[in-house]
Amino acid sequence: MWVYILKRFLVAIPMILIMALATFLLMGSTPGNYLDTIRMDPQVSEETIGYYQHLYKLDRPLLEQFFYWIKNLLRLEFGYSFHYNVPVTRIISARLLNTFILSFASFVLTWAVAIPLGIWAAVHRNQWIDRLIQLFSYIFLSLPSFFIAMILLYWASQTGVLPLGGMYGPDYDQLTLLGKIGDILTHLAIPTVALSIGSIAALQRIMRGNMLEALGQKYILTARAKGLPENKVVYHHALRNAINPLITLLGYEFSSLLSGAALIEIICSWPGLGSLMLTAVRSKDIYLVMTSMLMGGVLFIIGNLLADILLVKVDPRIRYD
Amino acid sequence: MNETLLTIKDLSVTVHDGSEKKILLNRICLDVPSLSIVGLVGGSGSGKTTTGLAVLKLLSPALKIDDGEIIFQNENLLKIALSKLQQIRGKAISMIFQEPLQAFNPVFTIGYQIEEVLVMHTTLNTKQRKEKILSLLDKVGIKDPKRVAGNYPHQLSGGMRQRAMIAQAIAVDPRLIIADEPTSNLDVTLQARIMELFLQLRDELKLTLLLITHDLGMVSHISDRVAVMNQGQIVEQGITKEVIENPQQEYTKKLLGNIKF
Amino acid sequence: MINNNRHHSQFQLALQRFRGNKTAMACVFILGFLYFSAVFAEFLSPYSYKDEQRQYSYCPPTPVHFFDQGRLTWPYVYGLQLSFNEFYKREYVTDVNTKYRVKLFASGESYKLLGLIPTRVHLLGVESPGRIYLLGADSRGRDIFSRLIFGGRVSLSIGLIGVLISFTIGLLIGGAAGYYGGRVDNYLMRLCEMVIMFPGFYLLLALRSAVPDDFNSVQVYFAIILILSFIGWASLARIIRGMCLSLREREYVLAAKSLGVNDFHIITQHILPHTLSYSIFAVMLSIPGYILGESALSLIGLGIQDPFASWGNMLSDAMSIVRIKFAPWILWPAFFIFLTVICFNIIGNVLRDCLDPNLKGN
Repeated sequence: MWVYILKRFLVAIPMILIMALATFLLMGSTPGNYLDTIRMDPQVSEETIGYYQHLYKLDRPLLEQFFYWIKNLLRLEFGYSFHYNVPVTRIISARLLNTFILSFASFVLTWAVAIPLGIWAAVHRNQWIDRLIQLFSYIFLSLPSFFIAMILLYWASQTGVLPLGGMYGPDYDQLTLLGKIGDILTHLAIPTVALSIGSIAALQRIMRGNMLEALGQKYILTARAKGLPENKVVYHHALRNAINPLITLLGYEFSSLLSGAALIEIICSWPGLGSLMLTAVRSKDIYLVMTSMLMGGVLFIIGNLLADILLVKVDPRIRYD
Repeated sequence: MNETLLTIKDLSVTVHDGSEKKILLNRICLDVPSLSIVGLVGGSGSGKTTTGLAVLKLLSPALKIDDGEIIFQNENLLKIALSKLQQIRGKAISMIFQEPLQAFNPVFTIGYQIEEVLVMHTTLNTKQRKEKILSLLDKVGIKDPKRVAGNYPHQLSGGMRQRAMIAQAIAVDPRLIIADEPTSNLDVTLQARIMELFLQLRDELKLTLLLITHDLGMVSHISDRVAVMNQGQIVEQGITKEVIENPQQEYTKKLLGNIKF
Repeated sequence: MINNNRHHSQFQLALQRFRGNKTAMACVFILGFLYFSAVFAEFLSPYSYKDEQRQYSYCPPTPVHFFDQGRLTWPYVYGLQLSFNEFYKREYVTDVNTKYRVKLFASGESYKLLGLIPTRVHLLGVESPGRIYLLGADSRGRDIFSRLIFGGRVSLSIGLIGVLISFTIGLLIGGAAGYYGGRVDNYLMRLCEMVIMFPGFYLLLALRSAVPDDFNSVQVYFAIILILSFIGWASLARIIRGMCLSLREREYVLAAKSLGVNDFHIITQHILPHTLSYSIFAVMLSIPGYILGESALSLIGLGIQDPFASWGNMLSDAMSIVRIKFAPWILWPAFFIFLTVICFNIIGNVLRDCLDPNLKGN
């Protein structure tokens, strides 16, 4: 299995690079780069621009620029952010962590709510509680996450219960460790909920379907014929089988959360990779864009690999050779 | 003649499909004498599986038992509470299903699934249970009980799986086993071996067997009594030998016509 | 031929089942209405999308009155007077003395109906200087009702065109990969994975950054469609490929092959039609993705630019959440996004159930 995972990882690397090249060429081929923007600034001298141009080989052909960037990548140098005026590495790690926190929180919330809800709906199939859950999941599935975020922020502004965006309160630095965690958690609440509601609705439906399918299987009959009590039949025999197919979704789910997180980050001003990328895109900060995208891809691959490993652990029928 | 272990009296089952009401079982009466092997034979859709499932009230919720009694050891199984029924399921009456690949839960080991029965219906401790599992697998003719107990269903061959299924069914010495097409997916030699196993177990464990099958030929070799079902009704029943040699109904003759002796 | 007929009747059967579903039919009518009003936007809207009246910034919806002093009259609206209260907050005071009759087929700004017929007739209108704001006004005093109708043009069409492009690509690439198998399959699927591997929104942003700044609105519109299609085709291609892998072993495909029919013909005539039932509901279920993608981009200012209207960029007004309190009507576009998305979702799901009754209940 480890060979398989290693293989998947190795296959992914050239794919990421090709994608990076494509983006790089696309971005580079459009007129205007970051230096053109600062050239407008009369305070920045022509020498400074020349210096940067030379340093990052911006005066060289695009392909050469790209390979220079790749070469630096191997030394874990991601280039220089013109907008923030620091190496990309310096900004990106904190942002990466923040995005991870948001995605992970939303991931946990989604699964913690959707799985029991799906089971509940399946067990009470076609009863009013099931219909209610299905109705709401239709509605939440169709509500844009950014709209939910806006409404929640508005609600927060009216009641003052939760902070309005950002990640830290103004007195964050004076708080104790526990207080700091609490502060981040209160800031985390709105973006997490906004991000999760849609995926809860979607995952709940899948879970319900899987559960219904599992409950219709022969082994459920066997379990009942053995004299097992109903809760054991449902929560042990059916559940284990209904959960397994979801694990393949796990990686996908995580990446879609990551993608959705970007937009929510922007709206809730959460200092993550997504809002960073927006700034970078707006200011044509090419290395920052490249690195953000690269990190997004890497997070996705890691999510998928974790799902693969987990699947092997829980489903005895699956073997990777 | 032995005393009667299971009596099915006037059992009627219907299914409601939208506004339509369809009769699946029409006033079935069947006696299963103690220590006998009774064959319940019929084509597909004749209602034989429904009968078997109805005994333990395992029918899917869409199917309604409208009428009738199922008397087992002087109790009407249709009337008793679910918790009490769960004490009977797997303990006094156990079931064997066709296609053991689907009847076993794919994500648990064979040993674990047999152990569940022991946990439910006995007071054995962990160590005793492990020993019991091995002896059960041994009893049904599995050569390598230790390995099989640790295997998942998909890792076993069809014959092995069916033997494991039987081991699970006899785990707590039931009085009655309802076997629904226990051999229909196995090849002929394996079928014969499984049938031999049933005969041997009946004598060893003092079992009663209700054998549900479409294969009248197979039943004729091992069963004491036979009941023939067609379209939700029992059209003919009696001592196997008599039915085979002197069938009264056209349907039975048709079933017999398919068999080469 | 026989095969085609069977497909046809199956399809008709599904259509019949679909018609029987009231909710789904309601959704079809709602969508039909929305698309209809997008096509006839100029006629249906009282004002043009760029008709600014700064003095009416965030003007609340003007109620249409049907009764005058207890008597039923021709509908009219009152005039509005802008004033500032003691906190220098804008307040619109109804001027009961000036009434403007709501006119049907009123004459207003000139336009070309369907891009052909020059006319000045609008369905509704009031005499200037009166203004009718059925759903309120935005920051520049533009009529939200009119802008919603115009915005629907962008938001609704992006879904259709985007899905059309990415499905064409997805069907052809998925079909080719599944049909040829082997190395072709391998390379094409790597290509798909490459696209799928990147979180959609990051890819969206990266590709958007490659769009030159000097693009005009129409160019940006098409650029956005292209970007969204580029992200969307891959997952479809993967599924079509899986279906084709099994279809290509069927007898009629093998027969066609042995008769020397060319590959393109086999793929388009014998294989892809069989993926039709999947494609149809997949189309319905993926359209919302395009609509939401456009809205998201426009919302954060990277999509359709002012003064052009799309539901997304109209909502960007609501990004400063304090405005929601004193002008909650700026959230109307969100309602229309929601309405469109839920309609497509319902239609897609019902279609799936109808086309494949075996799936029902799952």
